[in-house]
Amino acid sequence: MRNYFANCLYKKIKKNKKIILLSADIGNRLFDKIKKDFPNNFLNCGIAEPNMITFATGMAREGFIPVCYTITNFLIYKSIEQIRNDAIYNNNKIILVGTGSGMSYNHLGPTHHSLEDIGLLNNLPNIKILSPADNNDLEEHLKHSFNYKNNQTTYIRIGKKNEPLIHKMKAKINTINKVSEINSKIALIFTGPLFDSISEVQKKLKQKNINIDILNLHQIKPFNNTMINSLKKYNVIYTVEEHFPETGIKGIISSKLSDQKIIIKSINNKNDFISHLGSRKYVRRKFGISNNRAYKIIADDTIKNRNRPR
Amino acid sequence: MLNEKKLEIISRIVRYNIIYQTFLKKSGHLGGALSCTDILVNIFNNYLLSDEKNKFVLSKGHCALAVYSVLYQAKKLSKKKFESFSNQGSFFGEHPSPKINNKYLYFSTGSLGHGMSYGSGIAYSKKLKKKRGHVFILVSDGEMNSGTVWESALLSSKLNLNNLIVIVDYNKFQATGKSDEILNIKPLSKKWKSFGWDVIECNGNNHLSINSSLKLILKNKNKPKIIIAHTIKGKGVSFMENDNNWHYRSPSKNELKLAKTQLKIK
Repeated sequence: MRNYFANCLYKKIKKNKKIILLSADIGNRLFDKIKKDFPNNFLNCGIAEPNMITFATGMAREGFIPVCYTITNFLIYKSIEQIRNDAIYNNNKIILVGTGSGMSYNHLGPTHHSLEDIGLLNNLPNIKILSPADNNDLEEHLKHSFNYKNNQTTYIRIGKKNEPLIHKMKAKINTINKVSEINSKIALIFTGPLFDSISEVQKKLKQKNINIDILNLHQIKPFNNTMINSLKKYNVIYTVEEHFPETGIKGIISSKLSDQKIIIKSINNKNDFISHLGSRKYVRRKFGISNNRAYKIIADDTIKNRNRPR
Repeated sequence: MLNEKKLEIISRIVRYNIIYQTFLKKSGHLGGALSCTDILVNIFNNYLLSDEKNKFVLSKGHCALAVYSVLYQAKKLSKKKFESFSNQGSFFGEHPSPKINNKYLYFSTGSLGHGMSYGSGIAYSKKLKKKRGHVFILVSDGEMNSGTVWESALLSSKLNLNNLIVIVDYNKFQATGKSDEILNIKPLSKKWKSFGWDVIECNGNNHLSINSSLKLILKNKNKPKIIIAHTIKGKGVSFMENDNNWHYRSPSKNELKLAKTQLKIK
């Protein structure tokens, strides 16, 4: 995803020299082409994220479109006040691109995980939160971010590398993307590039005669009425995310649908750091994200519900 | 350019208006507003009001009243707006609001350690756009505690932002005591020199000294510049000078009267 981001940004800069990429000393060789062809459009700000954010807001004031790029946890956690005061409160639009989000850095441990960023930013007014599931989503999100009509600071939460493409269609802004819809009363909704960890669930459940819709919440904020209404038809919504559920999409969807009789439940229910190192799949499993776990929870709930006397 | 005598008269009027508003609104941060008054009077009247290419960032946001007072005296801010200071519903608070949005105040500070990063972003943009003019940033000595100040010092030096002029209101006090006792920021000059900045020290309560240091430092075309302006917290009113209680308290009617006499306001 980060390579695709670098390629997309190169094309954007080629068309619009006001776009400036600021990095906090990350992306070794990733931006070589931008640096070579457009040296004025790249700046390594060093490992000093808060300064990078406020510096970017000064550039925004002068008419530039700064893109601040580094690993998500550093970008957001070190600079939350700068994002709040200097970008949002002071009306300076910048684009925040967090790379290696969630548990992409599965071999580096919790200091490199971001399991709280959605919650932190969702709590702030006047910011957009986009969470692409694949490169097609990302392309659409970048297009939307650079649109001059969009004057809000925008956060794009991207993965790292080798995320499979899941959509034939590009993400549509202001809607929830349907990955697979069979008009069920049960939905499994995910965010970010983790479809590969739940791709088997639908097929396995079908063998038990359980049908579910799979939805991709690629836009988290604003969570508009179209998005809310599209969820009202479900009886049960399961969420799955590389984020703590209370402040992640589980919590957000619950609050948006609080006046509905819908059961909303998170597949990943862990609220602790995952110190174990290992493959992405292994670390996700430790966090409660896997095909088996999702299958088991949904199948057990549904069968229990079927057998309940009416 | 106004001469020192005129600037000194303006400073006294600006100071009195600050004190009077503080008296009326029972607001705080008086000591720091009085220490930076001469610096603000000087750069606004000699560099900012006359040349729109020059930009200003107030990093020590808690002294916004001093900027309002300078702008009001220079007839760049209406009486109505100035007198709305700290009133219910007003945007002219102890810290500036982005809703003020005039040429000089459009960035809200209040949390310290943001103004330098912001101003250096503006200065760098000016260079990219090949625009002339300087960016003046007023910081407090207390801000020298903040990590972002030093992050910004490194980046501005790397980018060789010779259009950046930072002025430190070095009044030797911060919220709860002497700045050298809370975190020893000395030696300030050496620190900034070692960060690759062009450094000059001056008496920040003396227009002759401020003028000559500005002239001198503007001659250097190479580095980002910092003026370490030695000032007195509460300057201009004998019983407020170097008494850090005036970081929080506001004057009584009698104290206001005394201040008026000392500032030779009729």
